[in-house]
Amino acid sequence: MKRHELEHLIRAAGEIADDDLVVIGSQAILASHPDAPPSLLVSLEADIYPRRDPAVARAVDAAIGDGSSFHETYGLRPTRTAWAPKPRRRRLAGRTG
Amino acid sequence: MTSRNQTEVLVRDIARLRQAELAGAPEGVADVREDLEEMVGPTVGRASAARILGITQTALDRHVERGAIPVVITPSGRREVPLAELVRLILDLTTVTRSSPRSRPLGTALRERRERAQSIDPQTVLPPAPLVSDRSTGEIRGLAFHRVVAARLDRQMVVDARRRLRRWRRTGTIDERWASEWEQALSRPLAEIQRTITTDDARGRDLRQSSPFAGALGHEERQRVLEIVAEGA
Repeated sequence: MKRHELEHLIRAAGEIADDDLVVIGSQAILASHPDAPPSLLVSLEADIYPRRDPAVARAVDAAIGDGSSFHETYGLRPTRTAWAPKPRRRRLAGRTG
Repeated sequence: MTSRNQTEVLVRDIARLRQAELAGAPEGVADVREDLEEMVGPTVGRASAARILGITQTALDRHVERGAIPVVITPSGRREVPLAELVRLILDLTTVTRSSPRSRPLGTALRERRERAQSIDPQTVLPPAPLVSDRSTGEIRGLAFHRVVAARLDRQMVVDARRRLRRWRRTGTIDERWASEWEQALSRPLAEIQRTITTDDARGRDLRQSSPFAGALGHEERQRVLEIVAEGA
C-alpha cells in the first residue's frame, strides 16, 4: 500500500466513522515515512480502528471491508476495526488532514 | 460527443459486452470490455449513473440512502457508483424489462435483489458452532462469504476471479505470493476450488484475506451475510 492509498482508505473510513481513526500495524509506518521501502508496503490492508467509538467499527467494516464494493473497486480494505488494547495507546503518533 | 455522454455510452457498451460474455461469447469480448472499463475508470458519477438507469439523481440518492445501491468514496472524496455495480444493475434492469415491461423497472430489480439476498439460509452460511466461538469475526465473515460463493460457484465466476486477479496484479494491489497461490488454486476443477475457499485451515484463512472473489456476491447479498454473521456470532 502506498501513502495515497492509505489516505484513500482513511478518507473512506472517515466518511462512516465520525471519530479519530488510528492506524496500527505495518502500514502505520506510512504516516511518518511516506517513501518507506517497497518490502514494507506489500500489504493492501491496513489495521484501522475508531479511537473513541469502537461501536462504529462494524459500520466501517460493513461499508468498506472484505468483499465490499470498495474492496472490489480499489483492492484496498481495512482488516481490523476493533478497539486497540490500552498499552498501545501510549505510542500513538498524530496526523491530520 | 461530450465526455459526460461518452462515459454513458461506454458504460452501456460495457454492459452489452458483459451480457454477451454471460451468454458464452469468446474470451476476446472480455478483453474489449476491460479496455473500455479502463477508459471509464472504476466509478461513475451519481448524475451519470442516474441517467443510465433512467431515473433522477434524487431517486438514485434515495436508493443509496437506504443502502440498495452502493457508492464508494473516490480518492478525491466524491461519492460515486462503482462501475462493476452499475453494470450489474443495468443487467438486472434488462432482465426485468425483458420478462415483462413495468413502469418502474429499477424498483422491481432492486426488490428482486433484496428477496434473493433474504433467501440466503443462515444454516448454510455459518460455519459449525465450535468454530464460531474460536475465530475472530473477520475470519468467520470471510469463511461465511466464501461458503455462499462456493455454493453457487460456476466457471464464469472463476473466469471473473482470474480476471480480477490479473487486474490486481497489473495495478500492484495484491501481494505476488498470494497472487501465485490464487492463480494455482483457480486453475483446479470447480469441486477443488470450492474446497479450497471453504477450508478452515491456516492456508484457507490466509488465501481468503486476499480473495479475488471480492464482488462475487452482490451488494445486498454481502450485507445479508454480514447480518447473519453478526446475529450468529
